[in-house]
Amino acid sequence: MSISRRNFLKASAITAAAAIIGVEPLHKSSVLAAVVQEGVTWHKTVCRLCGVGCGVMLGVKDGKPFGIKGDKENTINKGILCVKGFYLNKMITAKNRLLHPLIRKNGKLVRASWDEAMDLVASKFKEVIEKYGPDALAYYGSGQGQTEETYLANRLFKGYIGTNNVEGNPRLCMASAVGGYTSSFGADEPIGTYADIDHCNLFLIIGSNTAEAHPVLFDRLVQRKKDNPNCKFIFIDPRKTPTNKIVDLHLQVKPGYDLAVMNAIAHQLIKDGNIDEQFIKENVNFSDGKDPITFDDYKRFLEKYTPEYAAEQAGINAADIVKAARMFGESPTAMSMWCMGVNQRVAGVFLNNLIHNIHLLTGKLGKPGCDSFSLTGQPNACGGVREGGALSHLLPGHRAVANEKHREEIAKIWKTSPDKIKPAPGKHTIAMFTAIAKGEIKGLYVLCTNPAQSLPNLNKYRKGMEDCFMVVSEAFHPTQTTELADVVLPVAFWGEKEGVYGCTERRSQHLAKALNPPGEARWDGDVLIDLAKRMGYEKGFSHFTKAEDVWNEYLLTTAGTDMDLTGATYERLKQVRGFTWPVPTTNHNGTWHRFTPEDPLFPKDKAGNRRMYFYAKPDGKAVIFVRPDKGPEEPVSDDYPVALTTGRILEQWHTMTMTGQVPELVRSAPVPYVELNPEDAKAWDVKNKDKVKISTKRGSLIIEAKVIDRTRRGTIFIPWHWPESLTNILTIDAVDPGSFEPEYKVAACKVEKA
Amino acid sequence: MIISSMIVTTETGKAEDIALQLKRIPNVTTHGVYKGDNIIVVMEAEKEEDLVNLSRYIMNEYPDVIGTFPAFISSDEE
Repeated sequence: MSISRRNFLKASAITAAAAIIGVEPLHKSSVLAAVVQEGVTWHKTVCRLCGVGCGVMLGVKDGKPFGIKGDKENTINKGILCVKGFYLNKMITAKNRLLHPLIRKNGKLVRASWDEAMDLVASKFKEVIEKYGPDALAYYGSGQGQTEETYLANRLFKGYIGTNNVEGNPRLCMASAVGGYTSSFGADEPIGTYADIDHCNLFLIIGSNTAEAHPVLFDRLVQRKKDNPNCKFIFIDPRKTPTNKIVDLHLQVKPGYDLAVMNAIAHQLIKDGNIDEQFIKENVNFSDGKDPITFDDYKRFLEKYTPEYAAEQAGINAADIVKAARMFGESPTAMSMWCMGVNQRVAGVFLNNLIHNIHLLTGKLGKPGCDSFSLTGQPNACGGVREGGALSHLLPGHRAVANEKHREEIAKIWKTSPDKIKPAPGKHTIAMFTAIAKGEIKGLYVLCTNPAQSLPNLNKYRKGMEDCFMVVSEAFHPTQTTELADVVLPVAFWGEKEGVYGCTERRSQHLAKALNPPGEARWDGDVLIDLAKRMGYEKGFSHFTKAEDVWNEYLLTTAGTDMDLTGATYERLKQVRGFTWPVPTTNHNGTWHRFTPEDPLFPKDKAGNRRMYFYAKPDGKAVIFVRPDKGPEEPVSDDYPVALTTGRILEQWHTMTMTGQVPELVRSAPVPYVELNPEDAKAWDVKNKDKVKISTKRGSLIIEAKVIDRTRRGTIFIPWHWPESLTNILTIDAVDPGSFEPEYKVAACKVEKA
Repeated sequence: MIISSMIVTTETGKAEDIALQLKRIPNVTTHGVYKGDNIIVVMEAEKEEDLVNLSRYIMNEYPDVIGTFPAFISSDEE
């Protein structure tokens, strides 16, 4: 039988799709597909993009990337990939991979040797410390760095250089979720896992375009709805999005005015008697944010939040709020899911608390199909930064720099003096870049992120980055940030290094090294160890020779904590599709519901007959907070009468550093655009593809109009991905006072035909 | 020539009808409906981006399509 390559490939294409669905295609197809893939080695890893944590198999043939396929064995995605993850191999071989170190000479970045570049960085950093002290240095990392890399950077800057100016871009996306979890439940990260989806009958999605930002997770939601026709979806969001395809009730709120709605849902739950009195009695305290209050005090607070009041605030129908409350209250199970629309707000922590409140009122926590479940934007924001303690107030293992005992524990593991770790938190991200803009911070090390595009109110901060001594460790060049750098270090990309990612559901997964990095690129961890040695800290770093050494030390920081990962050794992680912590021993297989008897840390002696015990709180009780409604920092006005909100599209990710390297993805939406409501467009005399000028108090942008029925009237939406059109010139840098996360999601603007 | 495949998931009970409609798209073949609502679609195209474009086209043009998930892509050039 003579078979052409074309037929081989068609067979392979059919087989690949059939394998994902979990069916056997025609026998002939399987046989032919196997022939095509001869000589290919498939490596188990995890997607490099969003926070869902999809398992990916990276195929390598003759030392080069052959292809990508979903990992069928992975419990999260079961073989499915979104269109971005599918092109990961193209990112590896992108034309603008950085192959050599660059240093700035006479205003231009020129090629340098590693020795020259690293000596320059070490000497400059030492000079800054000598002249201005350690707090004149800062580190800005990423929820995309591997845990080992982030751990090393945190260790170097806090434990050896002696500054807590250690931040990362999760401050810009998840800090409010951290604030919500720690204040409401006593400890960060969700109680349940994705497995709850398969038991849930009622989903409340708020501030998340799941279909585009987390498409594989969305598919799991779709499957749940198909499997259970009684399953319903409530959606609270200012836009109609592809997520609406599965939505039963959409509360299309004005941007920034949903806190009143959440309080009104709580009001209605109590009014209808749809609460779990026993659960509340056993598991809940009430607080006004400063002092304890009673349940009756809380009920009195909620009196104001009638559905009518909230409807007026949010610009929706009161009847829909009542309906949403009844759907939530009457369903035996419920999961809430949210993302940037909740977190990137000046009231982000409050809104997180209000979501937790309705779960605590109804007892819909800690059992199959019930959770208050924050979605995450980056693949290792939970693992590397939140759990790794790489924010300015944290230490690894959910510890705080302000806690003396915690500093002592970490200093012992880090082999440094407890005095070296400062007790005062360092500068949070916006404060850090403000200090850079003012010239107070003189040296900055940026790892795997692109702040010169991703910070809000960009015009305020770019000059500071240009003026300070900025080192950027990056796999791609140019980016908006490398273009401002003094030193750019070429580092290994996904697939070219080993490590661990921790995703949304507390799951830590191993990423295999399948390829060698191109050119002179090195593993970030190796570069950080090198820097430590050149700065004189050799003794504290010489025992690290590979990623596993770093992970093993990191595990020591988690032992005995609520996020115990002791049992998640490399040996085990290489065999399985990750563990959801706590996983305290090497014969433990992870935990589904925290704070319940299945949790190995559950204190049975203290809990008695209680179904849950929030052991991170002093008396084991979670907190329902009184949180008044608070609108956006910058409401619309006569001068700026339109609400601007920003977000993501399916084919792109963040600042396009990676997805912008894939022409197939770029061409699907090649031009930056703004979505205009058709009625608004008509009133403004703007037609599809017309150029419009969008202005806020901070700057202006001329951009193509896309007239589409998605935003409500008086609201526009701009996807923020394109580097040639910096959306964040427009956004506001006001932050939540609890989480210090900026309000990317709401600003006041005006729209003019350009 | 690029050869690629994807899974198209639809609303319950709509897959057979959508599969028939997809067959009308040039260079697109469908290879059955599986597990209720999953259609295997194979496309031959000149350019790789056509897979992404087809994915977006299907999502936009067919209201009963809920998701498209690429499965395979390769060039028939040796």
